[in-house]
Amino acid sequence: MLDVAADARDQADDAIRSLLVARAQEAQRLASWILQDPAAAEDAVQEAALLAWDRRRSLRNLETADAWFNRILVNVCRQELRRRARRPAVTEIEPIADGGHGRVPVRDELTRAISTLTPDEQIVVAFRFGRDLTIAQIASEISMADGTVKSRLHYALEHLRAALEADRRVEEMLR
Amino acid sequence: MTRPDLELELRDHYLSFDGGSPGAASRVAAALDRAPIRSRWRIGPPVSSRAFVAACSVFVVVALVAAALLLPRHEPSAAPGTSSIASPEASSTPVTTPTATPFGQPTQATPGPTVDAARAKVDDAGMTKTGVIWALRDTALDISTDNGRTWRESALPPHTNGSDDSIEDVTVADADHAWVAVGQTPATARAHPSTAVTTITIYRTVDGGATWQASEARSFKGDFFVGLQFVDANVGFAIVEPSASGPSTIMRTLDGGATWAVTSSTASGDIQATDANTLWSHVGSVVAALDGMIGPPLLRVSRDAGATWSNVPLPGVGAKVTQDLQVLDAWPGSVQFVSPTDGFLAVSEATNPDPPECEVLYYRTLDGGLTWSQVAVLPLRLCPFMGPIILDATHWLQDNKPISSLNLMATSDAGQTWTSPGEATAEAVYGAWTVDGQDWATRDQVNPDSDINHSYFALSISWDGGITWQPADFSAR
Repeated sequence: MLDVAADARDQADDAIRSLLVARAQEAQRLASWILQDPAAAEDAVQEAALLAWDRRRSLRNLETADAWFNRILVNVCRQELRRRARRPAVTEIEPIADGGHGRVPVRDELTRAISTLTPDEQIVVAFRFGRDLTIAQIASEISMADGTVKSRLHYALEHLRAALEADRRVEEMLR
Repeated sequence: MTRPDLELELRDHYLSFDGGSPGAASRVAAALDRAPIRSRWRIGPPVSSRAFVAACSVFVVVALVAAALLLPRHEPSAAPGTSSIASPEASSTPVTTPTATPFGQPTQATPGPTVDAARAKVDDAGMTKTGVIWALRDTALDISTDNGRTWRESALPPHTNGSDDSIEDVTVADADHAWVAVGQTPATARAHPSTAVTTITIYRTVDGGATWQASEARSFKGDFFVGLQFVDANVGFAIVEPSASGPSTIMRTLDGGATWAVTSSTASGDIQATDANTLWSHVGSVVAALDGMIGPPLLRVSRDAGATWSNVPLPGVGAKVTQDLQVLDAWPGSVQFVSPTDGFLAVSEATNPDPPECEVLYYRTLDGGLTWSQVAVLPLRLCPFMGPIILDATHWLQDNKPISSLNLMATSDAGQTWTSPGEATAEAVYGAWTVDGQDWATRDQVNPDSDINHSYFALSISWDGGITWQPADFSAR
């Protein structure tokens, strides 16, 4: 009897391991969107995979494994964003040499502006504009109420506009 | 400055991240190969995960409270009489530790009942100006008129919550008067949120939830968020904010929610009502650099229910170079009046990124908000999520430690000195309320067993001035 149960568990383990490996590339894309840093994303995916492996007994239904692993990954990313918030990087705004116009590339501008958002706001923005999910899909992915996702997204965009505007004016002053 | 192309820029920005490198799979496979099998098979009946969560959470609460009470306070190299939680050098106003706790002497801790922490889970919660605590839980609205000792459960207005309609917001004025906004979107339209039409119906009760009456339904196109605010049992606002960009629509009722009229469709920012005509709006985050503030004005006011707006000067804001400057959200709103003319608000200034330093600037008005002056400064390591709870002109509460555990601070001399009466477990505090100096309630995001999938909002109650906390026991009748 125990052998039968052990065989079933081994099969489940194999399935989860295969899923984690198969999902790694997409997971790294998601983590990159959230963390804005491919190297940090690599670490996050490995940490999430190890956590998922360690907690694989809590997965009751293999059909929900994708969502289960996504939530683990998002939580690992959230913790990384919180660690960053505790020791935020100095964001020095320097004009680049581009013929004297002093324009900061849009990507750097956005990366810096996104980093000023709260971790949950960064996650919602990444799901909305990186994965192009609807409010309802984001709510389902990260186990959050529709209204909470809506308000986080709303405030995140307000904050982004304020941060981008601030960047633009600093640039003008430095010219 | 408006950036209508921001959403397009964001999409392009995320597309530019090529995070899906082919090596990811092999790295994960290698990591899994090295991973020890830490969870051995358990022989015997499985332990209920919920019971395990509860047991862990009770243990964590007890352990932390015991540690807080038993361990000596460590005061690192601060000047005598200064608090270790602040950075005295970061401000010209040192934080001194008073010799007594002026919020009423904390009495002997009165341990509450042993409650399954998971049962304190709430979707939303708040407290009215009259001291009624309310909690929205799944399909019911729970109301307590004795500071969380007993609860009365009321049914919510009819809704399916999930298929076609869902609760958008809830607010309570007192034990009898409450309002619920229900949004109805056809399930087929939800896949296209930017063009979907949602019909909002605001239900009101005048008998504590025994019966509900529906107002005239109104429809809005696109993705939006509805917020209800009532300044008393008759006067209230429903604010429809787009989830992406664009102005908000403000509707007002003067008859307790029976009828509503649009008073503005051009407002922006976080909007708060303090009377039938006065609305305040603040933006999220502003930077101050070199010669002043950068970005939109921090605070604006409307005296005609949102039709027109003017900037509110806050002296001293932006005097330093800051990374982040914002009017702090607070309960019941960023701007809090203790009389028709006497009001307060707080602004956080992140003054140094590494090591992080923050100053909370407290402002007071004595002329109904026409002019504001800075009355106190609180230096903290990290800027708090929430502004102060203003009990009266001199007694305030302020949350600290925005990322880790909740730490409420108290002042009884208008921010000149602060004490930290106790500590509770929470990932983050999203609101804190108090009836008097002894009975407090908070809505926290908790993660009781550090299991990454078990984070939720919970209502915590303290009956001893914040020294000990327990999850709300909604089964107590």
